Amino acid sequence: MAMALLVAVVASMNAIVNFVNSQTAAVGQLASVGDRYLVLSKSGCLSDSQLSWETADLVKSFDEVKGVFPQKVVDGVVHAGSGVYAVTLRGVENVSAYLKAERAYVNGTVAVGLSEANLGVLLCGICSVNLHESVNVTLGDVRLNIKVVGITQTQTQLDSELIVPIETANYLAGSDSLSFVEFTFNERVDRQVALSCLSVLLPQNVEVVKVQQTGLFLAESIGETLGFLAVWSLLVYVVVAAASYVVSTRLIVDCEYELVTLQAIGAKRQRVFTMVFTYTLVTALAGAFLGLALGIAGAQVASSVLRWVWQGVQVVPFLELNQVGQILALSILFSTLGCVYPAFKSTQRRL
Amino acid sequence: MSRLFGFRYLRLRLLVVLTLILALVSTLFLVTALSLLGFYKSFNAYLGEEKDVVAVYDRQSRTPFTGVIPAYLAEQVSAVNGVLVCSPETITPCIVNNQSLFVRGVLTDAFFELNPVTIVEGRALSQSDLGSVMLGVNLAKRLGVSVGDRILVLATLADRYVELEVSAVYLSHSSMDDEALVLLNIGQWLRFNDYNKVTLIRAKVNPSVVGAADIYQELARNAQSQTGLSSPSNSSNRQASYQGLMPWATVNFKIESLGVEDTQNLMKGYLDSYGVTKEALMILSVLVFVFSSVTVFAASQTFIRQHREDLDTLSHIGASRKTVKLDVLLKLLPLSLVASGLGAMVSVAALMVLETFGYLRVLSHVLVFHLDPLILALNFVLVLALVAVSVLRSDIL
Repeated sequence: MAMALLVAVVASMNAIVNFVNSQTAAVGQLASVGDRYLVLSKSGCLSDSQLSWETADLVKSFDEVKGVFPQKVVDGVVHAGSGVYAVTLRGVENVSAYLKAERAYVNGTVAVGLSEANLGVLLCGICSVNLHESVNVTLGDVRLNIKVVGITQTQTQLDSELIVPIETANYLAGSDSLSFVEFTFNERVDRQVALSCLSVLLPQNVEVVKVQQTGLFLAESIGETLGFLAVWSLLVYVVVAAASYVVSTRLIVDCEYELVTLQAIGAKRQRVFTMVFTYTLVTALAGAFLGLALGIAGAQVASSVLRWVWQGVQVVPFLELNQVGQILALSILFSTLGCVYPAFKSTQRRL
Repeated sequence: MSRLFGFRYLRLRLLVVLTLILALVSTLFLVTALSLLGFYKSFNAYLGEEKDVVAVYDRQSRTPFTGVIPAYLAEQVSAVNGVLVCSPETITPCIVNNQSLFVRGVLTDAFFELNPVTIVEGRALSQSDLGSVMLGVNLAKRLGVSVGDRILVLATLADRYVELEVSAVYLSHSSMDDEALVLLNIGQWLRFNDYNKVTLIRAKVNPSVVGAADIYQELARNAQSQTGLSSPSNSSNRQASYQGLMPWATVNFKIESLGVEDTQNLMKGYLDSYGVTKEALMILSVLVFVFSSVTVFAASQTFIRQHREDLDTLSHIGASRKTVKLDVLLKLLPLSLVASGLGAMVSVAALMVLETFGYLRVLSHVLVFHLDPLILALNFVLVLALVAVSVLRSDIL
């Protein structure tokens, strides 16, 4: 019973945590999963990333993708009438198509030439720059006079940036490398397969990052709970080992006369050890099965009581099959550890 | 009985084993209770522990992070007499360096008035820092980044990304130390489709002037007089100071979908809806103790069996059964105190190790366990009671 109750504690806790994790997953699924990907060098951030145009061409040539936008992000300075502001310049290969893909609201037109730019709506407010106004943009020693031909609103970081054709960004930066490439996969494409194929084509120093990371967040959140549960369960299993120690010691104390008699009539030490060991393991196995049943049933009963007491509370604990196996295996393992010493000691008795 | 007390017949090795088993069960109870109640306390304190902070929230959301309410209500709340400061906020789950975190979008002035933080390194966000982020000390350590580094923030509730430069690392001595702070507009990029929504609005109030119910009534009154979409408000300088860089539009909403509560009550309500109450967690911890106490009960019985010959001898020289039981109990009680003390020390050490290695984290927030004297006292009482019951119910002689 001691072991059964301990296993019941682990089983019921696992069942409740499973429910909590399923709720976490359900909340996460409320968010629609996006289809935007970034190709960047393994630097971890966009502005430090450097890609060649060959990489962008590789992505473009891949049949399964659409909306490929090579981009260059650089830090510059805007000299406007109201002052000097540090800004991020985003050079895009096809500004018009990009803003369309971003579902941007554009007040004015889209930048096309070397001296035209679209200004994000928030940056516009910070710099107090109006539509059709010209500003000087410097990047290092290079200076360029740029006319704001459109003010854009996208509800993204673009709203705080100066969006220019990629030629402008290259001119200001003095190099024609890219920062990253943004793309989406075609509809009805198995993204995992396509992603694997694309990754094989790309250079070693380049990685593909999915933008919307709902799955990873959920995995992390669930992992945190399971991590604690695993450590906590370990403590319970140590108590299981202690219970096993007690059970085998009790057997030896209660059956002292029989064990001594067996040894006196010629039973080998190994035989006595096996008897004590087997008894404890059978007890542990029975306890583990009983504990599992008790744990699951107990958690279900407790959740039903909770539902009756607090209206609106919906707790549905459950245990997965692999967890059942894991609990059984660990219970047996720790029971074995707990009974080895008493079983061994029982063979050391002098007649 | 006093004569028996001086007679040392209990074997030291067996006493040590029993004490260790008791300490183990005590450790299990304390680790369970302290971590579960730490979770409860940390979650309750998530939006602030002060009694004078209220939150306007979305009643239909299942978590405090997934609500959606009109941002312009911040203007109305701030205009209520007795509201001292009002902070509209977005709270968004995100990924940085393959690790989960929450990004909180705020209006810096209002937020820091409500939640003062100490800047450990770098500089605080200004109202136009649209490319910067402040990280809590725990988060900065976990991500392995420092001031000046750039991080790529990937959203989970929207298909968006943001690259930000770490402008500061701050210390708040609260769950915010595990979060990232950005301007409200950045929070809105990562969460919503327009600039007119926030996750919740917190307000510090003068409790003698206004309460949560008064604010709700004020919002309800305003909602009744409201007619459809209107142009951006910007009605006064005071109200404008509560806005981000984008003016907020007045949008339709159902007043029934809004709630106004003390922040602690609000968080308690979310936990209650999942059946997680302080009482339930305490009962769960005590149940863990009770279930594991069967092991102690069996160990005590075995301990007494192992001393059967000594106890028989005592009986033969005239000690009554009651006297022997009381003597064994008196000899074991100090040990049970030692065991529960040992259990408490091991539990605290274990929880500190778990905290250090990141095992005490729920939804990217480190749980802060408190050494609740009530739980420690309960541990002592439970261990003493367990030993007493085990000995008194044992079949001595």
